[in-house]
Amino acid sequence: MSTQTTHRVAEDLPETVQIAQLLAELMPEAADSAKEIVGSTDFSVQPPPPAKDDLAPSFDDLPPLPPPPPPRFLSKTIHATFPPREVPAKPAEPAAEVHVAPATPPPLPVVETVDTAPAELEVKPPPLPEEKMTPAAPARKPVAETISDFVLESVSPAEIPAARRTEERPIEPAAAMTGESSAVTAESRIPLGDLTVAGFFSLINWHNDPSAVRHPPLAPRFDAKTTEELRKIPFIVLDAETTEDDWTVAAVLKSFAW
Amino acid sequence: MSLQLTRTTSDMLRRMDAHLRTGIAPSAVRAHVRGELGPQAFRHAHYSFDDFFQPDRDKGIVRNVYGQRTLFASGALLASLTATLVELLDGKATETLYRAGMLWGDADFATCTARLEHEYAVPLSDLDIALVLESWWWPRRAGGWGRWRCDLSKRQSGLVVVDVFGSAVAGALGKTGFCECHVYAGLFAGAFGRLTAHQLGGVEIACESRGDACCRFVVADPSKIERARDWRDRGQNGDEILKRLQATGGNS
Repeated sequence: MSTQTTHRVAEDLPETVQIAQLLAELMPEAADSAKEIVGSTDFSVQPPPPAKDDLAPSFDDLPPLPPPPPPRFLSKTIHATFPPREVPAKPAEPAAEVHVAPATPPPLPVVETVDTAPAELEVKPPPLPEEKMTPAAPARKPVAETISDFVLESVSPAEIPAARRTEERPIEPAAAMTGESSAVTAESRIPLGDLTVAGFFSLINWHNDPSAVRHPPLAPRFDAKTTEELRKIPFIVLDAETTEDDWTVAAVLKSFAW
Repeated sequence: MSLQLTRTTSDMLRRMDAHLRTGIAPSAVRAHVRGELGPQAFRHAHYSFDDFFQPDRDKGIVRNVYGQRTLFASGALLASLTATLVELLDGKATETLYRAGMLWGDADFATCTARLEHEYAVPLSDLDIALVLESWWWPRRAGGWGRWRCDLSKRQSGLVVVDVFGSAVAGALGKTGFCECHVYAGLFAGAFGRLTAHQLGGVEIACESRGDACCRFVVADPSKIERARDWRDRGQNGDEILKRLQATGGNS
């Protein structure tokens, strides 16, 4: 046992005792709690006793402090003051989004009530079985590695995959931005000798009068050999019905009504 | 503008064989139209200026691919011709020009018929009407008489409508405020009269000399043409005349 004599003043008291003193002054009802912590309600600063070495306790002689009480949540005070309110529960997420098999519907979410702190009043989704989860997406390639593929390394165009090459095409302006309609423009090309649409219509119908468009004649106007050879040309339609299939001089002259 | 000075059908056919025939197809006339997918018996596309006109510098003459001797003249010739006829014939100048054009068209289409039957080796009645008409007009276009657009959609009403763009007469006379292309009206009347074997007339109902976008001609029965000419002289425009002709058939 130590025989060292100490003259304890307020500044020398342990910090917990100082806190207990302040609580006793501010909140008398909290004195009990302080008593539990410190073990004495007399927090007045006593004058130092006469120097008696045998009576002067050392820190080692103080009785051990009881263990601290369990933490007291604020919710108890709140619910003692205010009536309990209903906390709206979050709706359960659909099964498709949580990737739970429909054969085993998940249990309803549990709402924790008054015994928990407000911070804990939240909807906890039901535990998801791990074996039915959607497999996670593969990890993305690091950006530095991707950039090095295109910048740092000298890759020839032939070595670039086709999917990447298509991304390097210039972006065409949208039709709404350029003011162009969805109709076919004169610059559009048709698979007929790399002919433009304007050039095509200038050949078949140069004034673009739909009523004057002529359809290919029917097969019976040609002999068998010619018909057989014409069938090899994909742009000549021989068997399709036409509105007016006979444009010979004789047929047209017959239709005149002088 | 080219003026054809001399021509005969036999000379034309002989000239065609010499210059356009490739010697592949037989010359016999067939009963059906035969498609020639490979080399053609005749060279059909010869309407560019250098192809169509062949000058002979030693003789100082120009012939076309059909052997027809041709004279190149400016629009001043047409203007002078018109002014001279008006001065000499007074009110009959218009009729004279119309008659000249009709005789020209009749003879020219007769020659064209022989040429087409020889070139395509089929009777004219079996050929496509558009091919026939375009083949007839293309030498006129190559000679500077203007482009045309022939509309046969009103044939049920007995009307043939022809638009001419870049008329040589209108270009020569300028903006006069009147319909001046009487030669064209007679030309179309004679050509379609030969084609249809009917007595037809022609009238110009819109003219570039009058400020219209193109020269428009109507070829129809002579009675309808007389009424249309009367409506035109009363100041009606081409569209109104055409509507009245379609609506009434030229009977009112």
